[in-house]
Parts: sequence; C-alpha cells; structure tokens
Amino acid sequence: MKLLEKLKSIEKSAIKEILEINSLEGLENSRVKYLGRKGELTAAIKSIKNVAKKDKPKAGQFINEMKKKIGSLLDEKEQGLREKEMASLENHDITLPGIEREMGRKHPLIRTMEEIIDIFARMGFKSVDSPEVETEFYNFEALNIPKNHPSRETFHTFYVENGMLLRSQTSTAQIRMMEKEKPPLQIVHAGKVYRPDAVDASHSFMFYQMEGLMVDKGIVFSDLKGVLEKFAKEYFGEDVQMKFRPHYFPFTEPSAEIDISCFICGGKGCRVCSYKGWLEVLGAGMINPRVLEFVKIDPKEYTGFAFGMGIDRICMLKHGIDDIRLFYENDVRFLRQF
Amino acid sequence: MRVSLDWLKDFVDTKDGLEKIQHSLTMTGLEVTSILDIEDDKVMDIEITPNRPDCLSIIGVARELAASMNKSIDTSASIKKNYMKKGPGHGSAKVEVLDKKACPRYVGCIIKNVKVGPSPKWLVSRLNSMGVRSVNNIVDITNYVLFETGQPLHIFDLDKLEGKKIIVRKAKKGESIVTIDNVRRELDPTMLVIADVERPVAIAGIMGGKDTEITEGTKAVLLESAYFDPITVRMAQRKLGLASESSYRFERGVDFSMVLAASARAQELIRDEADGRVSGTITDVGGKVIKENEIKLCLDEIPRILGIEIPSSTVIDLLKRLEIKTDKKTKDAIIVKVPCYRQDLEREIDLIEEVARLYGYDKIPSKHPVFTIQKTYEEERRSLTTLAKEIRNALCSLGMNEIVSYTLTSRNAVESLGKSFDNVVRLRNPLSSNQEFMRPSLISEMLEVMSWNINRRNSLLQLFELNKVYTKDQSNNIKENLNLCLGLSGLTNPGWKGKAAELGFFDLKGIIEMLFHALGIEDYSIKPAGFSVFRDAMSSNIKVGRDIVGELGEVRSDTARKFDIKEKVFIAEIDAEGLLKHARLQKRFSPLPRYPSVTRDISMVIDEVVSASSIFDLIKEKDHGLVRSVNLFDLYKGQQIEAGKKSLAYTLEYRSDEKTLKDEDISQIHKDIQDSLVEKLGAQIR
Repeated sequence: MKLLEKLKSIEKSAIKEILEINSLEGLENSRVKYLGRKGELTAAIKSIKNVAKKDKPKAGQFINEMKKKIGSLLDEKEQGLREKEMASLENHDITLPGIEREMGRKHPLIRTMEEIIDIFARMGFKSVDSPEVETEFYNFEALNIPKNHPSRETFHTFYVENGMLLRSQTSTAQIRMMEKEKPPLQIVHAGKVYRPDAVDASHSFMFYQMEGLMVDKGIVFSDLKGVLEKFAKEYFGEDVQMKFRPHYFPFTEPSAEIDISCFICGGKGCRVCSYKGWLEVLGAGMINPRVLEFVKIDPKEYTGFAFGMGIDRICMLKHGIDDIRLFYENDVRFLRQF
Repeated sequence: MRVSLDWLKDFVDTKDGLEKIQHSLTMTGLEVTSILDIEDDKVMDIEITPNRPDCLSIIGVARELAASMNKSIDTSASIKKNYMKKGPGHGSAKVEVLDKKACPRYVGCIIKNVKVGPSPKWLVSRLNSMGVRSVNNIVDITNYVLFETGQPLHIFDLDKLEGKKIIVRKAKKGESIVTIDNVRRELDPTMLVIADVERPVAIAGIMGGKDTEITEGTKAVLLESAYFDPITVRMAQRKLGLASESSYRFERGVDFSMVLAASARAQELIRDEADGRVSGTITDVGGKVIKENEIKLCLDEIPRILGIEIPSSTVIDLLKRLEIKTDKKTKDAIIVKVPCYRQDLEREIDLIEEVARLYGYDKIPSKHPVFTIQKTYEEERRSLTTLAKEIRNALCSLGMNEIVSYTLTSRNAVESLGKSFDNVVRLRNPLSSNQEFMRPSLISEMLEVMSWNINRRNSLLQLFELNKVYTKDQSNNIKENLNLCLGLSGLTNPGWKGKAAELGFFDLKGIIEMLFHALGIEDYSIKPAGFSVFRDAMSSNIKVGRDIVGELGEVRSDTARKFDIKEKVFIAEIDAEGLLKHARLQKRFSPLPRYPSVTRDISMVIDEVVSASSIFDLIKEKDHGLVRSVNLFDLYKGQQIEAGKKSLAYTLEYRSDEKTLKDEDISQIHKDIQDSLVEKLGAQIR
C-alpha cells in the first residue's frame, strides 16, 4: 500500500520538522503545509479514492489519527512558544512594574490606640471597655466636677434623652472600674469622647482618648512619673525628655501636664512643636481623695494615679498629620499611607 | 489672661529677664502660652486654671512669681492699709442691700469734683498692654484696678441716680435695662440688679446701664466695689449671653478681703488723675474680716502621696512663700492658716499639691510601681476586644481597609436606610442637623465614605468599619453595640498581567466566609431575605446557629443615589457582638490526609432555577462520606445552551481516611451522584 507508506513518511518528516520549529511564524507555515487546504494531508485524503476498496477504512482511520496527532503537536508547540516569548519579554525587562495586591490596613487611629494599649498592657495594665452614653454622675459629679462649678465650663457636653449625655472624657471609665472592682486596680481604657466643638483642622466633635489608672496601697507620685516615663520612651524613643508641669484637673491632685521633648527636632524647635521644643501629650495626677470617696475606696488606706491622652493628637504628632479631619474623611489615599 | 511684664515688676523686685520669669511661672502651674510685644512692654498670655481665680490679676500672678522665686511682693499703701479690713458700715453713700445672699458685701463711696478727661499716657499704655482701649480717665481707672487687684469695680454718675441711692435687689418681672453697649436687655427675677429708687442701673457684676454712665459732664460719682455670688452672676451671664471681664471674675469668686482695698486704690487714683475728692464716709454693707481657714497637714501624708520625704522645715518654708501661715503644733503635724484669696485650699491634699509644685515636680524621683499579677489572660481571650482584634486582622489580610467615621448622623441618613426613628437616639443640643442622631447602623457612613472616595476617583474600594451603633429600647435605655460593616465597589487592579474584574456580591460573600473561617464560626448560612436597603435579588441575611447576625446585598440604586453614588456598591452589616458567643478563636488541629485523593469532574446542563446549594446537598447526600470538596469551576449561560438552562462544571475530590481509593471504589458512587442529579434535579450530564 503505497499511500500508507507515503503517509508514514509525511508523518515522520512532519514530527521532525515541528519539533525543530522555534518561531511562531515557522509554526504557522507548518500548519499550512500539513493541515492547510492545499496541504500535504489534504492531498493525501484526496488520493484515497485511488486506494483499493478494502484498504479505504484503514487508510481513512490512519489519516484521521495523523491529523489529530499533528494538530495537537502543533498546539502544544504553539503554547510552548508563546510562553517562551512572554518569558523572554519578562526576562529581558525586569523594570516592568511588580504586580501589586491590595493590602488592607487598620485605621491609623485604631493602630495608635492598639500600640499605646499594648505598651501599658506589657507593664501589667488590663484593658477594659466603658460606655460612651453616660450619666451626669459618671461624667461630672463623681469626677469632682460639681454643678455650677467653673471647671464644668471646660467640658462642653452633648446631651441626649433622659438626662443622659455623651461623655466628654474617658475618665468616666475610672469611676466605673473603681466602682466595679476592688483595689489593686491596674486599668487602661480607650474610646471615643464627644464635645460640641465646630470641626476645623484641629477640632472635632468626636475624637479618641485613652485613660489609665492604678490604685493600690502605697502608690505614689513617683510611680506615676515612672510609668509615664517608661511609656514615653517606649513609644516616642529612648532619647525623649519629659517635663511635668503643675496643672489642674478636678479629679486628680496633685495634677500635672506632661510635655515631651519634640521628637521631630529633638527639642531645637520646629513647625510641629511651634518652635517651642516641647509637645504637650498627657494629663495626669494622683487620684483626688474626693473621687476615691465617691467610689467608696478609703483614701486613707489606698492611693492611686490616673492619666489620660488624646489618641488623635498623639497619632497626628507621631505621623506628622496636620489636619484632624483626615481621620474621619477616610480617603483611601490617606488610609493606604499607614 | 494677659499679663504685662512691666506691670508685674511693680510688685516683684527682680532683675530676671522674660525667659526666666516665663519658666518660673510655667513650672509652678501658670503656663505662659505665648508672648506679645506691645510698645516697649512684653505681654505674656497665661493660662489660668479654673481653681485659681485669685490669679486673675497682676497682683495674683505677682504672688505666684514671688513664691516661686522666694521673694515677697510689694503693693501700694492704699491696698496694704485696707486689705482684710472693714469699713464703717452705713456711711455717706446711701446703699440698701435687699438680697444679702446674692450680694454679701457692697462698698460704696461718693467722690465729688471729678474732672472727666483723657487718661495720662502711662494709664493708656498699661490698658493697651492688656488689650483694652482707653475711654476716659474715670472708666480707665476702674479697669486698671480690676486688672491690678482682680476686683471688678463700677462707677455711676451720682447726679443721674434717682434719689441718689443704691438698692441691690433681684430684678422685677418685666424690667429691662439698656446696657452701656446700647442694647436693651430683658431681665427676670433670678437676676441681681443694682437699682436706684426707680429702675435698674446695672446688672450686678456683669455690665452697667447706659443712663448712669460717666460722661464728659459728670461731676460726682458713686464708686461701687462689691462681692456678688458666683452662681447668681453665672446664671445671669448665661441667660443674657453677656460675658465681661467683671462677670468672668465674679463667676469664679473674687477676694472678699480685697473689696474695700480695691475701692481705696481707685479713690487714690481718681484723686491723683481726676482731682476727685471723697465726700463724707465710706459705706461698707456686709463688710467683715474673714477668719482664715485652718487646715491640719500631717507630715506623713507627704511621702504617702508624693513618694519623697521633704524635711518639715522645707515644707514650712514653701508654705510661707505662699503666705500660708504655719504653726507646728506637734512633731507630726502642722496647722496652717490659708489666706482668704485661696478659696481653693480646703483639704490636706490641697496643701500637699502646693508643697509639691513649689518644691518642683522635676525634683520628685521616678520609680516603677510593683504590679499585681492579674488573672486577665483567660478573661481577655474571650473578650470583645480580642474578637475585634481578630476581625481586624482577618479583614486586613483579605485586603480590606479600615475606616473610622463619625457616630453622629443626620435625619436624612437614618431615613435613607429605612430605619424607624422609634429607637434612634437623638441629641438635645446638636451642633448641626448633620449630627443630630446617634447612628443606628454603620451603613450610612460607609456609603458616605464610599461616595467621598468615588468622587475623588478612588475607584477600588474594599472597606470595613468596626465600631459602635446606638439604639434605645421602649423604656429609653440606650444600648451601644459593636457592629461590623463591609463595603465593596470598583474594579480589581491586576496590573499588566491579567484582566480587571468588577467586585460584586460573591466577593463580599467570600470575604464573609473567609472571616467566619478565621473566627472559627462554622454553623452559618447565607439565605435570601428582604432588606429595604438592598436590591431584592441580592438581599440576604446571615444566620449563625439560630441567630440572624447580619445582612448583605447590593445597595439599591435609588438609595445609593441619595449618597451621590452611581456605581454598584455591595455592603454587609454584621452584629459583631453577636458573633462573640459563636466564635472559636482557639483552633483545633485536624490530621493531614494520610491517603491521596482522586478527582472526578461532573459537567451538566440544568434548569436555571436550581440552586447551587441544592446540587451541593445532593452530592453530599450520595457521597458515602468520601467527597471532601466540591469545587464549582465553571458557570455558563448563553447562546450555546438552551434558554432557561445553565451549564455547571464541578470537580469532586474523593478521599478516604482508610485507604488509597482506586477507580472501582468511586466509579459507582460517582455514577450514583450523577444519576440522582439527573433524576432529582433534571440535570443533563455532558
């Protein structure tokens, strides 16, 4: 059977030829050459009519298989060549941009809050929750801010129904915890507070604060200094200097405001510290005995300290953010920077 | 408060420069916040805390400066002579005090022959330093004495007082007064007024009346120096919305012992600068010498609070510098007498603070306290804080960005979510209608943040917020609940290598499934349900165990448009607190497979209405426990298949824990699965 032999030789040369092809153009030529309308296989099919009748099925089957074989060989080769081409493109130009994935980030305020809480947690403070909608008692009276006292004016407040209010400082958590648990107490709390201030670059009617508290026998002002110095060094850096200035808070006595040396300029004076070299970051003091009396802890037996700071302010200082509104606008171009 | 350095040096004899003085004041608790150059003077702006009304004067600041520098202060003779003294009671000025509670002391003095005219240069420039414009010599002198002593004064044109008499009383219903700023003020019976026999001529402690003010033609005056009750003044000031330098000081409490001395100081200046002569005797209604407060200070208390021993001699010296008299009765305690102007010193702890701040906070050493070991780990592991942390970590690792938005929202926002106002908490004193309600849901703020970003062409949005929502129950108890909101919109960005895909419902569903996996929540289902915010077709609820914990869907386009969003946005809101009891954060290990698995594909055409979950359930029903995963890898609907049908292709993973599966182990099972798909769901296997 001459045709069969001819076909076998076509197959042999086709396989050899296809395997040696190394360009897509050459591959296309081979496809036309073997499988095209005027190709060698098509010619072979046409010559089937000359074959003896009994050999026709066998020849037909052979041709079909051959067609399949060559077809898949061509496909395989083509895929390989395309990959190679792509690979060569990538191999030759590593300056092509990397493929980025969308990375999720915590909000900078939440992150700051977690970082600060973690530092205190490592010292031995326990983190607790406390409500935002509060009574006058927790927000004012128990914190030694009586009605009609001038100190109340520094705490503008939103009121809701039933005489409830939105807490104006996280110090409410101090009272709630001291009421709930007996000393020794080592507690931190962070959360939102509200004050009816018009929104601008440095004011917001809602912002985050954190509060810490330690009550036990023998707690002294030196302990407060030690804890806050430890925090400042951990959070702002080993070189940071601290300054405790006398101040007034109704719920602590003695009270202090704490400045740290500007960690941007190292105290030389820059835009961030308004050329003062110092940044005010914390308020603190020994818990006023009146406050202890309110929560039925005997001030003759126990003493304690409390401190608080604005998370928004700390976060702004730490990252050089100059507008508090950026936190609450949540522009993803802002969020992606952290 | 402004404090002129030049003026301050009248009272404290020091060669120290501005920087030293500024530092001394700041480190004793009077923080100098800024410094102004006015003419040749340096003017410090000082923050006076509400407990120190005694420092609302040059003399008050001078006392503090002197104490911190260990010097004494020197005031004018007229003040020294009359401080802590009382006048003769009823004198030549006719004063009747009807409300002794609101006005415990009133000093009146008649001065005749005054020559009203411009003030001398020294007076003009001192007032200028304090930020006050000169009016005329008489008015300027009252302001000068106010700043110097902290005691507000008022001065009336005597000839314009009907009956030449002062009556201190509560305002009558319907009375009003035109104040010196030319505004008519309606008064009510809670307000204290200074009246003549006819009408009010001043609102006590706040502002005088136009009718009786000093003019160029004034010849005789009545000089008022009084103590008004702080609460009465504050309430009137609030009601009238009228604050002044006077009311600021009366509200905080002026020095009772300075009332007569300040009058004397003003008399002296009016004599020197306006030729005025005091006529007759001075009236001092309610005048008395106040006994100084006694407090016992136990010396042991100082180290108990501060952590440092301060020798008793040092303690006594520090208190003396503050003009606090000390009497060391016993070895362990000091009895102190507090000057009248220090109303803030009531208890022992107040004295300890005085000692500490003068001693210097910087000299108190720091130490680290001993912490008590607490059993918190077990407690914290099951707490909401820990769950919140896990949620944040899981979502961030899925590429979601966290947002934090305002919790106060508008009526429109609540309405657009179709929420009932019955259990929404409303503010009584909102700043604006945009922040009138406490949000009952995180969705409206999520939509606002998405809108903000879309408007700024930040098109790929994968956001979440984990924060509180607020509702009230029927008895008006307000509940705060931690919710989670997820928001998706836009096209993924595969770079140059692939094709961008639009984020949609199933991306959101996938994120929720991954999140639940991370939290160890297994028993959950997501089923169709109607929520008004979502398009009907895509509205679903999320059930964990028996509890509905949330909802998800594609936001209806009319709702989205209310937030100025034209894009497709997909949102879910979940009660994060409700997840707490279902979460299993502690994971249990399951052994890795010991035998390999075998995969088989099923490709079928089936009615469009047949749900993927019913196919899944049927496969699991027939699998003899061997199908470990059912992976849908192709879903097609279109021209190549019959209308009303869809084509699905699955890969089934078979695996046994007992042996390596062979073809014959699974061919029958696989055939049974296919047969029942055909039989029960009408599938055509391809």
